[in-house]
Amino acid sequence: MTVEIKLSHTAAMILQTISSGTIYGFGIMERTGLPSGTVYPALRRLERDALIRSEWEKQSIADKEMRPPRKFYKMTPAGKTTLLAMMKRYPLLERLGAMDEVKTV
Amino acid sequence: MTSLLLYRMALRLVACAVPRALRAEWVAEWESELWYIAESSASRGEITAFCWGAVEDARSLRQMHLVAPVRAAGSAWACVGWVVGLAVVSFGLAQALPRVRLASTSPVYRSSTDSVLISSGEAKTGSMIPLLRVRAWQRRRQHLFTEFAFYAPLVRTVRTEMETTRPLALARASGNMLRMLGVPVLFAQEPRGVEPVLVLSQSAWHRDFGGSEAVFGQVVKVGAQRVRIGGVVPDEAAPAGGRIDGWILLPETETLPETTDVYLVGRLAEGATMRGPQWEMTVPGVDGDVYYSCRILPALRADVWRMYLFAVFLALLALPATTSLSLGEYAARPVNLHWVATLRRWVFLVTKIACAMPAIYFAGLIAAYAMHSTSPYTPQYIQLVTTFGLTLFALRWSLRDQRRRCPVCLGRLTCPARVGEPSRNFLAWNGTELICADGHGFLHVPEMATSWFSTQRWLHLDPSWSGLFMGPVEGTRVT
Repeated sequence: MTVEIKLSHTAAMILQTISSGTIYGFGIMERTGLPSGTVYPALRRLERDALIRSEWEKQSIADKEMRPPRKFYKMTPAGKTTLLAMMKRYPLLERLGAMDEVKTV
Repeated sequence: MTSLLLYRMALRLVACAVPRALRAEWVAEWESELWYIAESSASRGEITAFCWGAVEDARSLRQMHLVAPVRAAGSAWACVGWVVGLAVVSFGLAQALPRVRLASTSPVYRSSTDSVLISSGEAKTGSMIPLLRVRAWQRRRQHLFTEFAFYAPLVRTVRTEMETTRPLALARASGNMLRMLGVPVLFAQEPRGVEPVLVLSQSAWHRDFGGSEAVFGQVVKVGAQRVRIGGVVPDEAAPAGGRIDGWILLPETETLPETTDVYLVGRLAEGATMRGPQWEMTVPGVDGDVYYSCRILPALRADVWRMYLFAVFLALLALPATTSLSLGEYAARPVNLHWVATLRRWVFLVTKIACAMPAIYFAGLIAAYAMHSTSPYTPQYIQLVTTFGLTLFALRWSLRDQRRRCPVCLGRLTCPARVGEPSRNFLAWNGTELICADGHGFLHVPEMATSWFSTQRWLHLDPSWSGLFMGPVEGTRVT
């Protein structure tokens, strides 16, 4: 038996943003316009509920580009199912524009 | 660059509010994101907003991890600290209260053991005798007594230079009275002038003279008579009982009228042995034999230390009747505790009791001597009962506390859970199960003692179980 996870509109918006590909925290803030104090805790909750997963960028890549490694977030299958359910609940989510630039790990 | 360093320091500061297990991860992510924000030519306001968001992150994280990890309810150090604190507070209170401070030195009210209170035989013990008879007796050759002293009560006000006191219960006494009784005189003054000496009782000194040491040596008027205040004696000095606020020690007693009724005290001659503490005797008088009733005055002292030891002894006798002396049957699954752990358990128990005993001693003194009592015996009874009760309570608490502690880490066992049902006691057991928060084991306390499970048992867990107890307990909230 699967348990339906209820998300707030903000969390659903973040999940929708992540659904377009791998993305990092600051990118979500830029695209959604949400403050960091909202985005990061929501990311943690989504990750705890296994709707997204995170992984650190390889240190070697970051070192090559002389910048710190980033933490990327990616949708899980459970996240996709939940997002579909949330789309019905929050129809305005679909109006969120497609992502311009998505980095991949 | 400097401002970026400041922002990083701010983030580190905020990270202190994040649960420890998550802190490193969050600091890494914040600092990484901070670098990218700074590189994106964001304004200072945007960077500040990002850092301010970290505060919200920390608050949110704390809420998400509200379920605190199970910890030992009370450490051994905290327990000993509390008991030591109680001892220090009771000691400080005892030192702050003058009566208690005085009592803690085991005051002697009367030290004489060969003084006899002589009363008129026709009346009850402690009645007064006309001075005429006393003088007649003094003139006779003495066999039983070597010395006599007497006092006559009267009520008079005392006039100082500044004011007049309320009417005081005074006693005109022969000069040898206090010395014969062995009454200690505090602030005793050297004899000066021809005035009789007025020795105040402690309560009168405090109540009517403000407890001031400046009054000693002052000449005051008692009625029309000038006297010099010459010291303080315990309230309990009067051999015939009753309240005496001051003793006027007369250097010459010839001026007292012969019709004056006095309390008479005699000192037994050395080698005089009596069959009991009370007897009657006849003395030839001018108009025939006179009957006297005699009673040896016991020494009167408040030996607070002996009283304390006696009360503790009684409490030790009563202890087995009130609680089990066992510290718990820990050998249900034999585990050889390291000798250091065993020693630490015993040291902890002894330390608890050793720290509680001074607290009880001073608490008993405070209860007994903080308030004024008319009888010298009342405070001793109060001290006995208080010390007995507190000692019994402290010993019971020490043993019960010890039984509820993990024998390995001495932490208080937590999470009590009821196990089993009374109806299944034949094949199983029912009672309470407690657990050591550090994972050293379980304590099973049977609710009903049976022949196969009579006392509590300790179930030791080996280190392979430690994984269940380490780390914080995660929250279970749904987004």
